[in-house]
Amino acid sequence: MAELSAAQRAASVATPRPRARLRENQVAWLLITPTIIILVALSVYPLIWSGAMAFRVENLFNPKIGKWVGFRNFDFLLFNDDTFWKTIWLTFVWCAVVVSVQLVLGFLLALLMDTTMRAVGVLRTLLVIPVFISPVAMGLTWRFMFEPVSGVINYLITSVGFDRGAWHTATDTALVAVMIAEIWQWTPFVTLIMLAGMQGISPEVIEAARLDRVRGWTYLQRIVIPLIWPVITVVILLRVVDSMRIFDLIYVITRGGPGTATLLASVNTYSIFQSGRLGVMAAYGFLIVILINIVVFAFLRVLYRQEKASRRRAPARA
Amino acid sequence: MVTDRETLAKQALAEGRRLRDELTRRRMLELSAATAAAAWVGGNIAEARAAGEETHGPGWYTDDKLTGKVVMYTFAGQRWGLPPKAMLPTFKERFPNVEVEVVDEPVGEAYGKIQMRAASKSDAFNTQWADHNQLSALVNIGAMVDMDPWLAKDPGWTEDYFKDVPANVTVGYRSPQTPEGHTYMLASDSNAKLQYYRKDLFEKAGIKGPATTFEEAIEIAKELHAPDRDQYGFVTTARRGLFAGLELYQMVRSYGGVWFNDQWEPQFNTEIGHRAFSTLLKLMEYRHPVTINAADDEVNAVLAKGSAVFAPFEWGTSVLNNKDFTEFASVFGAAVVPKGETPESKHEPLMGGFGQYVNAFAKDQDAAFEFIKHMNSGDYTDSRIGLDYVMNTGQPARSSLLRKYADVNPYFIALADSIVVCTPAFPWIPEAFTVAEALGNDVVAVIAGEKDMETALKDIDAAQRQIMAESGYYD
Repeated sequence: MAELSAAQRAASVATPRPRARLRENQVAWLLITPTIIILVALSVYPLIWSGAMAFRVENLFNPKIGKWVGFRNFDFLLFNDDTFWKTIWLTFVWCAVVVSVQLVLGFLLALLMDTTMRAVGVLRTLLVIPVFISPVAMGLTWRFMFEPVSGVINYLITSVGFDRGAWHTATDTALVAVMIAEIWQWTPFVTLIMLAGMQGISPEVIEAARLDRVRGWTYLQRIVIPLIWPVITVVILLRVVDSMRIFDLIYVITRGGPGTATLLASVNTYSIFQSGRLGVMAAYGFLIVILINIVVFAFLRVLYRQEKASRRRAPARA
Repeated sequence: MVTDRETLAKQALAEGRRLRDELTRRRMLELSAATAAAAWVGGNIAEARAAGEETHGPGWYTDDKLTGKVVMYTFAGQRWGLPPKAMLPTFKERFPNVEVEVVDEPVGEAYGKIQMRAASKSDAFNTQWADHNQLSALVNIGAMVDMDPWLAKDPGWTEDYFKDVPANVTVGYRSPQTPEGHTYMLASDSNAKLQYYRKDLFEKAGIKGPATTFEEAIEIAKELHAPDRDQYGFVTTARRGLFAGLELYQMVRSYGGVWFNDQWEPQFNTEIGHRAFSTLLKLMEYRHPVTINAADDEVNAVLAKGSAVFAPFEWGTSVLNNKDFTEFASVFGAAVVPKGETPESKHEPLMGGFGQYVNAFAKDQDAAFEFIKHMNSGDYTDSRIGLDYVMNTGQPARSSLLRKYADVNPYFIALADSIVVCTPAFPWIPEAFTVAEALGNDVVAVIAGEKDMETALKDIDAAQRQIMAESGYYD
């Protein structure tokens, strides 16, 4: 009994009195209220408003015609607009190609730089430069470089005996041209993150692998990749999200053209905005968010499972 | 020293030309427009002001009782940014107690910005530049003030303005956009699609003069097309969206067609539409590679470099007559755009240009109107106004200024000839940009080889009809 009453006493000391708890709650609310107001004003309200707009006819240039039209905007995009599915397809192609190439190149460059060579420090500094260039400035530079008649890229190509390319001015090469610019800018970022991961591998593990004569592809497959897998997962996630919302680079180089050759989802959203069809734009935005989220969710699930499995395997191997 | 207005203007012009030759483009931009204009006129501002009395026209008056602040939104860049700033010294002479701030913002996405600023009912500005194609959208939301009561107070000025600026232009700034409409904007700036060609290459190839018909234009493009020598026979602004849409519409107009009929039914999938589109596609066979992604800047750049040599329907610009911009400045000719070959065809260039309106939601509307009026005065109020406008890279709407200063910008003659026969670039409805973007997306799909012409023409009419139905035109 005596023990119980001591515990009760202790509990009564640890638990604040109702009035004190009320004051604490009030302070907490007071502190988080500005955040809530800002969130509601800048995120929740616009989200609800644009959600409502997706079910309306709204024209930027003629606000008087606004009216509720149910699912008509969605119906138009999904079943009548011949660019909708193309923009979705292009966005996924873009994302898959750009992120894959960046990962492979980034990994290889990180391997090269993960040495004790003297020049590595300088190389690392040089390598990081593209990441800091504004995408608009970079887009303009690449556009001039790709210029089919007087651009430096065609000059170099023709000077070694190849034919000139049409680059961003032809439907079959425009996407590739913009991908080159994007890969050039963001591969260094992938390299740096991977390099950090590689340099985090314990020297003992590397030494053990060396003593066991684990080399080449086996070393990469069994030692490096599993150990930096969490880093790779983060890089993939960052690059996928970033690639999906690409806008500036494409807008500056091709504005989604020629035709619809580079009309990715974000550029098309803007293109619909320019035409003033705000209702269609809102519906398009929602469809894109849903589709992208489905893909990203599925992708993250796969990555998560792989990571979980590799963690389970690690102690078993040990 | 200076005794009459004409002599002063001639001297200023000669001085201006000499300075323009000496100054680099960068340096020119660095100079404040107003200071430069004053310096050109008389050596310095003081002298220019002293000479002011000699330059006054019948419309000159001053008013030191008028007060307030004018905030004018315009676009950065030579044609729209510099002329309003160049007006400040002479305006200050007339209205010393009115403060003027000219806000020049990047021209990108101009229409959306103008519309949103107006729709927000902002009173942070009391006048802004706007396009006649946007007038119905702006009137629709009550953003503009009817200028007729102000104009009625100065019948001499009003008569001179409407006599000097062609009716084809002024009608676009009325609401409704008919000769009977009320004036809601004054148009200091004009533009039209022009035919740009290289006189030297025409002469060399034995081609006589600019093209009269599009059949001739195709022949010329073919004749001058030599991609192995980096010389392309045709260039135009076919970027996705409204730029490409206006290319087809220009052809349709040249063949005597229209965008909508009286019942607002789209008229692209018609015989004229087919003919116009076919002609456009024939010209496209000789296109410069930039064409398909090009707006004005890209087209002007390749014309300036010499890799594109013929632009039968390109928006008027001073840069091709500017020797700081192109070594071919002296050999660029400009003329009215060609017409089709059919009996109903006509020379009917699309019309551009900008006017200025008074913001219905702002204060100091009288002061704002006076500034707009001053800028639109030409020589009627003071010969320095027209001179400053032109020498500061403006592209006036007044025919008298276009012809008077043709030796500064030779293309002014072609522009003066064009604006009397030009036609609106878009249908004058609030949804102008919506229908134009939709049109352009299908046009560029054909040029890029993503669609065939027949399908595209059907799709164009269907898309136009859908937009019009949404807006209630068929109720």
